Amino acid sequence: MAYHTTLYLVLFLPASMIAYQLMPVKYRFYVLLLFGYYFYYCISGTLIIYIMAATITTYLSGLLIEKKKGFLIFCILLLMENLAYMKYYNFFAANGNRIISFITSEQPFTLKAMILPIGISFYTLSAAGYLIDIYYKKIPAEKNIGKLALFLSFFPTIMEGPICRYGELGRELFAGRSITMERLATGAQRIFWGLFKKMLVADRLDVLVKTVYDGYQNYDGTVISVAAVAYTIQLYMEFSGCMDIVIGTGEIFGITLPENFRRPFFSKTVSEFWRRWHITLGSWFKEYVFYPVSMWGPVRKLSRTARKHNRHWGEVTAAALGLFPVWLCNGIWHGPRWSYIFYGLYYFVLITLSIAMRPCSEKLCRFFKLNQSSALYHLFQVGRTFLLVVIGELFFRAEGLRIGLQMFARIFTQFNLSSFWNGTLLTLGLDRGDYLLIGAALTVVFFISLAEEKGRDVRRDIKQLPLPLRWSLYYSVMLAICLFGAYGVGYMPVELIYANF
Amino acid sequence: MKYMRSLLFFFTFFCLMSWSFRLVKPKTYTTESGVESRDIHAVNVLSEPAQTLQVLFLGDSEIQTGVLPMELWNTNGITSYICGQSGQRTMESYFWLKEVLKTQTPQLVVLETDQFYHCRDIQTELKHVIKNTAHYYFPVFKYHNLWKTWLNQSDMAAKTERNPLKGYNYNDKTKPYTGGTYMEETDKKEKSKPMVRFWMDRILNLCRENNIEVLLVGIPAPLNWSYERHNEVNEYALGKGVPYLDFNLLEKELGINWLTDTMDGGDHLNINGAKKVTAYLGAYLKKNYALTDYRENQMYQYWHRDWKKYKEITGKLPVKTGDF
Repeated sequence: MAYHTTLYLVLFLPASMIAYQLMPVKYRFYVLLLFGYYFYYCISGTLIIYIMAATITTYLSGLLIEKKKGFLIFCILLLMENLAYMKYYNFFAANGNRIISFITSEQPFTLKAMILPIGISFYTLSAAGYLIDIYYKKIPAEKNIGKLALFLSFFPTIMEGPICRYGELGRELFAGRSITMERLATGAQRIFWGLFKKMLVADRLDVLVKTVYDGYQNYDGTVISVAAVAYTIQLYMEFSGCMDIVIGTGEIFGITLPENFRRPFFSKTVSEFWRRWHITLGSWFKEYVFYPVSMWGPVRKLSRTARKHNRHWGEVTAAALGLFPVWLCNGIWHGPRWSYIFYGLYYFVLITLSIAMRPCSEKLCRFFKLNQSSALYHLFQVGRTFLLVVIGELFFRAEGLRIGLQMFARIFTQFNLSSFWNGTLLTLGLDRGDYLLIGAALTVVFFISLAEEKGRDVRRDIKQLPLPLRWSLYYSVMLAICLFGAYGVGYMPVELIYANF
Repeated sequence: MKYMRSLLFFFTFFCLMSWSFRLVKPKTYTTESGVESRDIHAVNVLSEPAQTLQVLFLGDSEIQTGVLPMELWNTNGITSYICGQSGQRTMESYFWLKEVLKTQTPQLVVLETDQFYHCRDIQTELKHVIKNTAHYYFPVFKYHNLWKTWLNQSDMAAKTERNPLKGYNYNDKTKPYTGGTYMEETDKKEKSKPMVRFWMDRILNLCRENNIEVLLVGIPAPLNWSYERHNEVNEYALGKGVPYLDFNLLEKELGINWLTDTMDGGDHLNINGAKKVTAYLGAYLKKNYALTDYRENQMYQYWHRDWKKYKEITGKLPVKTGDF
């Protein structure tokens, strides 16, 4: 029962809304909790036991840390134990076996068949954040276990986030605001926008992406680069579309959820990209990994020493020391694969390099007399960032690091421009109609994003339109989803990509 | 006022949804034109001239392979069609019946009873309810992918053709069943799910409202049927006052030979088995229902033409005919 399915949109969500609205304000959060657990049971079955165990652990840990701060590390380790074991055991066992087999030809670690509870990476980070916030006295420990349980199992956020802070979301969740016509309309508007992005673009591109990534040996570099771009677009449309549905659901209940995307493809640098892409994950790592590491005594000492020798390289060292664990964790968080670790470290290298090369690039700009504030230069920066992101996503989607490297190499060794016009692109599962439709939908998304980028509040603008025009706009989006959505005959249901992380 | 506006909004939207079906309405019922392969044998019931069918068969692959409407025609002059799909659920039978009733007024609906046991978990079933309801009231959901034919009008130009097999899924392969007796008499029952009975009740109500008689039929299938299942359906049929003809208990009367009459070791009948069931069923229908023999009626001469095509197909093609 993913968020874009009819079961969720036609039955589950309306049922939860009715039950919520009928309940007295004081007890409304119990309805959300009940529906959260039912939702989780539907998607994970008996694995619900893990989120319940995590809730109890977090609850007791919170109370303990409030009294004795020294228990933080122990409690975090206890909380992370399930995630570490279920998600990473096989990875470390397989790599351990590989290393040991060089020496002894034995494989001491047995690989285990494990099913990962959906959303475990998301709710574990939320829970860890909650405990750290108690440690730093930003919030008091929650005394009502029901409220904490709801925070960790709020059904719109359980599959793909956003990763929320208790201090921010708690107040929203327990307020028990009524569902009004206005909230319903605003929420529905956001949900339909999410469906538009997911069903018209992301799910349609899935066919092409799957075809090429599953049989990359059969395709030249041109097709692989097209697939890498397609996957980048698919991932954005799918993940941000899902976030639109999630945030729209929250809006219906009067709950403001944090934004996870802010038009990332308008970024001029890779670090800016990560401030606009999967924002809640980035800010979690910044808050709970980057700052503590940067503030850690030995790191500060090392940075100070480096600064004494050379101010610039001192700054680079300080940044690198803080950033390395952030990007390593980011990679590992996505899953137990070398390609994810590579993906994380790829951004570490890019960001560290950009800091290190800053004086050099400024000199170059001065030398070539480039106007860094000109539109053309900004366009170049945006294009460069997009290209770097696409390369990262190529490795992210590839079935392993080795395959990622082979695919990347093909782009340079087997690039064949004629693939653009000799009909190859029409053999990847999409026909002319599909390409036209994707192009049209992307144009709509682009212009809306551009308007927002220029400071326009598109949703407010739509609200102020005359009724017939506003309704026509709504009908267009709704009909576009029904008519042009990639569902039904010839389409396999596409799972939410980030639900697997 | 706000609520009225919301109602108006959704009413207009639903009107638009209904209208938009015109944009993607298939001109021909083939998989190429967007028909789900599972529907392909059933869907051509919509190509039959209006008010011409006397009997409508509904059910899963058992009925698709167990009855030959053209043999019913040739021997008894009965016009019939099988609206079957593999694994057809009772809810799907209900919506097919509703669809067919838009153009036909059959005197008898024959329901195959294997579908009493086509029910999975509640989530899957609810998903099917939503899908079937949406497809019935807003066919645009079913055929929406035909928007691609706007780019190539020739795809839409083909004309609808009748299916000369009338929904029968032809197969003449033989793989014997050697498992022995499968209908051991017992008082035990294998409970069917409430969801199945709910939709079965709705089918019966719909038939009652339209003065259509109902007959429950069990096609012989050793791999799928048992006495426990028979008892459950029999109890249901008795409770609802609906006749129930379980061919699984009539092996001798039918003359079924499990070495030659099944295509897949007892899961489905092949054409030999289907002929035997059809011969018995034809005589039963003739005896128990006031069905007219239309063989001499000028209005039904196209059935003779379809009979010829049927003979060509079943005589020449060695395996499944595929899509129509």
